[in-house]
Amino acid sequence: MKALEIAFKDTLTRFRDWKALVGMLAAPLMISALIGLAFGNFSSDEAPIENIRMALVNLDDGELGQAYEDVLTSPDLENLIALEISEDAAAAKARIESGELRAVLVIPADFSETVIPDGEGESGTASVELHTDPAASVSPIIVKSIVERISASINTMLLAGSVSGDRIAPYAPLLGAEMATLGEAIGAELQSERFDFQEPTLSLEMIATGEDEEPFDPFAFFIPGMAVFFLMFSMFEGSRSILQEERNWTLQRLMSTPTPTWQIILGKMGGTFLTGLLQFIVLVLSSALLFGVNWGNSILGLLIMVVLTVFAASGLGAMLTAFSRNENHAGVVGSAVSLVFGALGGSFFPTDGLTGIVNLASKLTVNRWAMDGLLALTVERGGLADIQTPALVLAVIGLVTFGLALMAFQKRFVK
Amino acid sequence: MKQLKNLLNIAWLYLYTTYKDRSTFIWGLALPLIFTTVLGVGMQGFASDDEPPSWNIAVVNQDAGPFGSQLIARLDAHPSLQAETLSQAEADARMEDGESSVLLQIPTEMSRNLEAGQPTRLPLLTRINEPLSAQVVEQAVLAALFDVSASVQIANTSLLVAERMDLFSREGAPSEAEYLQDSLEAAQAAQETQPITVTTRQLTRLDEQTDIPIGFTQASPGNMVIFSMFFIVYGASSILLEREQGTLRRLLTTPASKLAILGGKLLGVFVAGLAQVSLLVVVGQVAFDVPWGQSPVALAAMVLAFAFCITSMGMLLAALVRTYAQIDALSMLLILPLAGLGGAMWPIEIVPDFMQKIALWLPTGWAMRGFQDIIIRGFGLAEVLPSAGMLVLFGLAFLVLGVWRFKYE
Repeated sequence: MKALEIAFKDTLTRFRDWKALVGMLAAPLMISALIGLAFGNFSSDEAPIENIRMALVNLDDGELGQAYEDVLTSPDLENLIALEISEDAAAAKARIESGELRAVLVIPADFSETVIPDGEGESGTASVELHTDPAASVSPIIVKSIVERISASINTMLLAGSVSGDRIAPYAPLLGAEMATLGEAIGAELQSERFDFQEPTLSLEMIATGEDEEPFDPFAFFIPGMAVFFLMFSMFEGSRSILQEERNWTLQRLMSTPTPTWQIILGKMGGTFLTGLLQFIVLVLSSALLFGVNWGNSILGLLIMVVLTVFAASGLGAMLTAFSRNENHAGVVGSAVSLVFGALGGSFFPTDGLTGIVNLASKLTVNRWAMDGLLALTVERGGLADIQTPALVLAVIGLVTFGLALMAFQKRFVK
Repeated sequence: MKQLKNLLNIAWLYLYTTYKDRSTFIWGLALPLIFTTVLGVGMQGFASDDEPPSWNIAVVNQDAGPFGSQLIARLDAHPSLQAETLSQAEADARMEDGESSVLLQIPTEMSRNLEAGQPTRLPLLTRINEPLSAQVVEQAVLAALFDVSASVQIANTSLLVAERMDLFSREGAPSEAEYLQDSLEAAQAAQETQPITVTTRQLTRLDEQTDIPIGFTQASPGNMVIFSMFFIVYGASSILLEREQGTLRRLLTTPASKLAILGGKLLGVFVAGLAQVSLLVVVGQVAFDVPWGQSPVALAAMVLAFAFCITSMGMLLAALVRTYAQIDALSMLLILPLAGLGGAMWPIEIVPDFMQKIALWLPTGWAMRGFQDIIIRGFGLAEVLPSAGMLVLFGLAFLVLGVWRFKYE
């Protein structure tokens, strides 16, 4: 059948062109590698945020300022906080502005003296200042929680002392000379292990669940995303080659042969489909080998998703090309659609959070359905039952767009 | 003088042909707008502005005493947490389905243990594949636990001090339970005025907290950098197209010098680049409320330096490859990694240290830094000069190399 011959020839030509291979294979693999490096911390059970660079400016000479330093340098926070001690608040704050530090904690002068009750039980209030980097969004929240926890511990201790004193004061006549030991009694209680900041009364028992699931693998999300994103480009580029051949008169020459026009058009469209299929399969295999991506447990499911994604993408490419005015027009439309579909369809970030009109627009893209199906296999380790809807939608998109493209090309070329 | 006129004519010609083409508006305006909108909404979790991102936490309260609900109220009051009380079965189902990523279980004996001064460990279940949520929520819950246990701890201390002073064996003394209850009330009243408070301030010079929609402080400059790079690099390297189509050779036969031809072309690309960057800045300010206009002088310095740097990069690329088709293939391979590594695709804060350092070796890293310094930190000219200066240095290096290596025929 001539259509098949044309399809094979086109596929071979495309795979012999290094520039095409850059777009089809090198670019998605390279960008996925980059994303994998960037989000590598999010995989396994390692803490994604570590070594938050912060400075402590302790202007206090007393024990409470030291308490902040002790906790911030404790083994519990060793990996989370990279603490520097500074004496100059302005210089430390300037280092937030230069992006070197995420936070600076300033303990004011006479801090301990102000808040610890004096001999007459009088005390005041004081504030520690936490300056955070506005360019960061996650690490300041963590640092703030830690500083609040240390402050809450000290507050508890201070209030325990003052409340204990206040509560017993009315019973001074009953206690008589024993009242002289009040300070000693409070001191002894405050030094008990109940006030050990490292051993709070209420603590957390961290339990990681989902051990049976794979840890979040950035590659399992981004490789399918990039594969679909770059597939769209090559499908539009492949379809556009029909118009290139028209411009170079090779299409007209081909049509002057006994081969029926429909076979030629089908062959050209089939060539794009075959190219996409091979591109996707090579990406699946190479990502599994290079990055250890697990494409799921259902080979049949994956095969169905790959075939239908390529079918829908190549159909859409062919349809838009068939309705384009010329090669340049097709190029602009193709690239624009590829980019917009990539952004909307979840090639760059999960679409779970999308709502309203953006979500609706997302569902109008090939990428969204392709990603829904592929992620059901790679991330959720689903099976055939989990890809039914995306597969059906992609099949319908493919059939409709291929059908329309075939009709439009026929009309365009049969004169 | 005549060469200058030639140069200006060639620049004008470039601008005329560029803006006559309708696709310029698709690439230069429509696509960046769509990307900024979608990615701005999509990046809500990484937002950096006055509305911090928040995390959902499912809570199962089995505690019969008062402290379980106090803890839930504390969690709910935390600006970064949204606590939802569920039954054990509901919470398990949520965790199973992946709808919740963190589950806190308040055990039955928490209040009783707390009153008795006995330690209690509360199970906090996290999902292994959502470690960021686990990390943030853990610290926030620990802070809430301290708050809740404080009043009991204070009251217990008061009781133990009284015991230590042998109060309860004396005639006329209250019972221990009565004393504890009174101490608890006194502790709660005393906690109204905390001796130590934490004042948190974002270190920004912006005059006022601007109401920036979540995520756009990243998406607006990020997409501006990415799309401007595509726009300018393609523009600069279009000189290859002229070489392939023979129009460059024709130009060389005119009295215009090589320098005027190349300079005119680059000037046109630079001006178009400036227009492109400025347009996206204005759109960011008007459509997404990103405070681009805090320091117009600083912004002008950054925009000029960035447009110059990328124009020169396009020139260098045009000098290093042979055909326009090669540019077409390589630009994606060059621009997208540059954008990712420089922090234009995602916040640089969330990538590992070594990648944050790589950004300092790239023009995109300095561009993002300078632009974000203006919109987030509220910097002025003096503070963004290092970033603008680095872009100019990169630009000069690219330009010298590009002009030196470019082959006119």
